[in-house]
Amino acid sequence: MSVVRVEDLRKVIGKREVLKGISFEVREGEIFGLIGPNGAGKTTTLRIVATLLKPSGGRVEVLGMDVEREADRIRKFISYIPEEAGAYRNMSGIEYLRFVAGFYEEDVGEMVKRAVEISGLGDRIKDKVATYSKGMVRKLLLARALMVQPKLAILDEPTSGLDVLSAREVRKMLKESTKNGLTILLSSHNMLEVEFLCDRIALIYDGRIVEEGTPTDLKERYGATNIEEVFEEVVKCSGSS
Amino acid sequence: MFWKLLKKEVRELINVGVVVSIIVLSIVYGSLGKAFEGTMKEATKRPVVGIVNLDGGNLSWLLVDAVSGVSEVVYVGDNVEKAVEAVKERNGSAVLVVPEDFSTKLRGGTKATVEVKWIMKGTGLGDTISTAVLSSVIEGAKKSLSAQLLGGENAWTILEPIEIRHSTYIRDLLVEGRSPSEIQAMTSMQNVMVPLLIQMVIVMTGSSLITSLAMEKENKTLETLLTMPVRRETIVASKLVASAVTGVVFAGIYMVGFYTYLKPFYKSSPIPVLQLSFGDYVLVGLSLFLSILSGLSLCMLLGLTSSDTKSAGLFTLPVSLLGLISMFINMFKDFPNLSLPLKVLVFAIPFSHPMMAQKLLLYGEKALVVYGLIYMAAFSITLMAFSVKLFNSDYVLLGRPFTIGKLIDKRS
Repeated sequence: MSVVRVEDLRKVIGKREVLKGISFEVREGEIFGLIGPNGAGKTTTLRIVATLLKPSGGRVEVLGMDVEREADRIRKFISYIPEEAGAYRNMSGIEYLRFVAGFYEEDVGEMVKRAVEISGLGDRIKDKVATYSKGMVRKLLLARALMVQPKLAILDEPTSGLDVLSAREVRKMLKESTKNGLTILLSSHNMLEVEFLCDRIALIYDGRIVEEGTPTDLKERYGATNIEEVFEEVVKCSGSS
Repeated sequence: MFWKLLKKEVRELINVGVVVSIIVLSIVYGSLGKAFEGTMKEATKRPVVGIVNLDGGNLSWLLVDAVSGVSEVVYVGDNVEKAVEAVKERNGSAVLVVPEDFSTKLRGGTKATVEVKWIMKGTGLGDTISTAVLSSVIEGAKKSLSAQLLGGENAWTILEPIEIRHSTYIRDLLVEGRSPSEIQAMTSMQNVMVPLLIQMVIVMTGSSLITSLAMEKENKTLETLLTMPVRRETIVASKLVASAVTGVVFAGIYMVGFYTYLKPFYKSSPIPVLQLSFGDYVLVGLSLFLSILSGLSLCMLLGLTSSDTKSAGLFTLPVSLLGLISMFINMFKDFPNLSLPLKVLVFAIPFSHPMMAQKLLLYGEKALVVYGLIYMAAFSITLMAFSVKLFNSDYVLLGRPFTIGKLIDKRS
């Protein structure tokens, strides 16, 4: 069953066509990665799937619901973390989690307990968000996203700005989550991270998906040792490099 | 959900720094007001004087009696130094020296002299007030002497042959027993306070809302909030209500201090025909509520275009300017007396309506007040609908130019 279905998605922002007709599908329980350089259209795609932006053309469905017509319903089943996200600085970590949990129908106490465990922030969860480091905020946001047990987590550069150890922890956390049936759609320009995390990936370049498949298939197809090399080859082949 | 969001908004807007600064400002104004009030009270006190009567004639004693009736006389005798000393001891104002030839000169038909030795405590406004009071006491004594010199029952009639009884028409409203200047003095408090209060409430609530929106953008929390299962209308409503509540509370605290500051300058007794009925007050209240709503709707749109709290401060400027235009026009001229272009301008600014509602109701122009209410309701609804539309569009995140056509389009 597909959790996300994107067909011929186009997006025009101002006078620029950011997405030029992309199509892909994310299956239940998998981690699907959109990779590409800055400005390729990854964030725009994620924002459309997360019901934040409207498509200029094409069709996007999440759990069989149309992102334009059924945005309010979709929001009950998704969690989204933008690349540059923050939490309310005047709240403590735990207050922030309680605040978010209040929007969902599940038991607030249970959700917060789960989030505290996921975050790994320990006693610092009671401190004001304003006192957190970037890495701590990111962990809090990930815990917030996962505590609601969404059907789909949309993560834009999930380890952006994190130190090596924190990034490893987050990756591990995400891998674990899919065991409980969570589907993840993420974007990254860190090819090694994507190779480690994703079941399938789509290479996006200049608003178009130029290649798609599992990391192993892609490496074999291009005779490459890693995804970075695959990406280089794909860009060369498409005549854009 | 609405209450959760409301609580969060209020908590963000009310922080210790803001509350302390508002309270301190209010206390400063209040203290200034109290200081002025003390000065004004001083003016109503009986002045403390000493009288040196070197004449001893009837007319000099008449002068002494006239002054004694309205002052606190601490010395009556014939020694100037002792008189000055006694007055200084009691923190008094002056020593009147009536010369030897005082009665003789007056009886002889020439002007007599009274020497006033003023005792100034300083050159400040408050220090010179008691001297001003004594001057009016001497003026009163002069009249008593004139009446005595004229003699007969008609003496006071000769001195003051005409008594003026004022009646004033304010448009179709007749105010018995009051002159225009008296009416103006009595209504000046509300002419100043009401527009100021409204201006204050609108600026405070508006800046709260713009700041709230700017903070969401600055702290990068808006994007995640918009993907949570909460309707855009609820987000807009919670921000509007939270800003209105905090703005009204802040403006209230501020105005208590400001009212205390202005009160001493505008003391007056109410004029019964210039009082509003309960129904009129309901209309004024409704007008104030709708003008706050209009201001907030306008600020919501402005706030959506601000990117951080620094730029948010600038966005309150157009709202303040609109409020100031209404305030000044309303303070200087009543709406019915304005030229047509100014009438259109004042009517178009929603904040004008509560400022002029009270006067219009007094003049029997209820229809104008009702039209104002309808206009403000339409203004608020249109802008709020537009804000919700913007919240539902790409604009809130991308902040890029949009066209009306795109907003109306079902896609956006």
